[in-house]
Amino acid sequence: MTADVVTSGLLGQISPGLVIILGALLAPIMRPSWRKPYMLALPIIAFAQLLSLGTGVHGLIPLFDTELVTVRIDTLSALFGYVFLLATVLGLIYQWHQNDWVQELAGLIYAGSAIGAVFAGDLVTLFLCWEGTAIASVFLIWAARTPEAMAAGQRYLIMQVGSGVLLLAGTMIHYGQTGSMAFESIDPATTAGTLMLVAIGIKAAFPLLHSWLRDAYPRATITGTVILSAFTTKLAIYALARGFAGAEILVPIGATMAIFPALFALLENDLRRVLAWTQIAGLGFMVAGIGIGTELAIGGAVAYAVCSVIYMMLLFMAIGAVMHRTGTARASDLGGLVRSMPWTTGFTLVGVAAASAVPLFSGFVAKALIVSAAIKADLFSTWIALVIAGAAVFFYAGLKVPYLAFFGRDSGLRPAEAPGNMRLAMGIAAAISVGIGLAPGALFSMLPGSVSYNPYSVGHVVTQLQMLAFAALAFALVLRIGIYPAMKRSTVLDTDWLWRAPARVLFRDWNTNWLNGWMDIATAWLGARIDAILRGIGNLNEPRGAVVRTRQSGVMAFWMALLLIAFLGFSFF
Amino acid sequence: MSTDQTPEPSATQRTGASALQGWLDNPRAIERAAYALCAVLLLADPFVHKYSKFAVEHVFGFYALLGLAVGGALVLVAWALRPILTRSEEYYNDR
Repeated sequence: MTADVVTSGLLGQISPGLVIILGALLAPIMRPSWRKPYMLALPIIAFAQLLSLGTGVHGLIPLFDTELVTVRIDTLSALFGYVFLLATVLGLIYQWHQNDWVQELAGLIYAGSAIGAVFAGDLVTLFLCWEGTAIASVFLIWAARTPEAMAAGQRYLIMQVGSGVLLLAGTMIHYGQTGSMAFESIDPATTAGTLMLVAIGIKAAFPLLHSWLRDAYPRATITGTVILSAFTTKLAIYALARGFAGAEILVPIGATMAIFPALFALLENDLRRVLAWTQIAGLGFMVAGIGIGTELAIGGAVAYAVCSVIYMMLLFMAIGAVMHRTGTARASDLGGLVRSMPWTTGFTLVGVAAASAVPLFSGFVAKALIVSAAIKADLFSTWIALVIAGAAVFFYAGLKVPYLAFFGRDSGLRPAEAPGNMRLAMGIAAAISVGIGLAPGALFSMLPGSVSYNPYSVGHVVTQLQMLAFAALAFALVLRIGIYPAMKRSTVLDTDWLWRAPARVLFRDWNTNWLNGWMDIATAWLGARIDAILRGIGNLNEPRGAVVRTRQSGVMAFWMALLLIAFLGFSFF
Repeated sequence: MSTDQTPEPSATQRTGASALQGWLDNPRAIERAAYALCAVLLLADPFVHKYSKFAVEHVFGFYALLGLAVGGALVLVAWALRPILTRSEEYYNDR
């Protein structure tokens, strides 16, 4: 599309994201021993490209009567770019031991798309990258090659592509009304703004739009979940900070997001799912901060996004290491692993300390900005919601995850310590989490706007420690009395039950269902193509029945067709 | 997914530091230290400056009480929701 407009000048101005995507395309043809260092070089080259471009707009491509700005570098996009590049490096180190080019390629295209989206200066570039993240990332889920992962991946893709359709619809209406494609502040009260806010809301896991995250992350591969946790949701936080800073509706949405995971997370047996809930709660803080909209609040949300990329990766890496060694992340099957996995235990403790805002760890300094902004804006209910949510996160993630996996009841499992490359990746993430906690000034100085704030006042440290210590006391007492809900193998229903249960009844006997006849005809064309892709992937690795089941792709194709029809409908506006 | 576990527990004793092993077997000392920490933090409450303009924050031991209450409330909520939300692991039969 852009081939004829690319000039030699433009070639030097390609997006750092595109550097990674184009570079990644060469990786599959290389031997693993060459491929691994080559892939690690890509984010470093992209970083050099980012620095050489410097602040400003680059890579302008004329389109009709407007202009695409493929690279916009300012304080906000640069910071997200840095942390995404860092996350790419961490992900590559973490999966160093593994030889699966599908995941490696998907992971790099996913990371490159997310980085491209962050630097997108216009809504069309944003949309292309937005869909790039959706399509590339689903392969990290499907690569687990289990029936559960296939199904969860389909649900994930429907939500993610749906988000893209809404974003494009919003973009077209926005362009029709304003004549501008620029990705700047957008009024959420307009039709275009509402559509875009919902599109971003899906990726940011707004309440009721969140189920894909809790559903799919625990189904992805061990390394896939680590990479997934870094990009999609934080890209959404970036897009909110860019387009919807100060949108008041975000304050109650964020406060709800911060609190409601507590209803589910304590019952949840799958520790990766507990972490998925923890991530949603953290996103709630960021969304609320963006809604408050003051310089301090936006700075806090951005700082928290940076910290959260690192500590959520760290936590998924640590539980992933447990899965790698034991084959499970079920709390009911784990316990006492500190005896043989002391390093992983230590890294988990750093991760939960950062996530629970323990003083001296990264989450503490970033959350402090948001909570303090809520106080300054005189938002009592938001403030109390965030404080309660903070205590809850500590209770169901900070205490539960390490206790059930590494301490508590001894499961008798004595797995070996995590492989060296995993420990290296965890070690770097842990060091950054502690580093930001000890010296937040460096991060604060990189934030948009001027944020000068000292999180380490005596009052703040002591009150936070009081809250954490007494939540821990509650945990200890509950265990002592014996009323802590025992972990059992189970499914904990989420709000997605509201549509999954009826769908289950409707599609139970798919092959004999009345829908089958016309659906088969309508989707045969699309289905054959998706099947071919899946077969290709299946054959490259271990082929299994589940990967190539026609029913799967039939349902899939149906939803894809529906999305395309929806898209066609929007184009008539 | 590899499951290469160390076969016999004697190998563990070597990897885990003895101090760690000590309190894993007898966590009472840690527990007492934790209770002492809670007490110290609570007693420090009147002497620290709290910033917010919300009156409730200035109640003695507000944050301690909140931490305790949130923990207790979560457990109660979990018990209340467990029969409603929990199904067998195969509930969705993965579709």
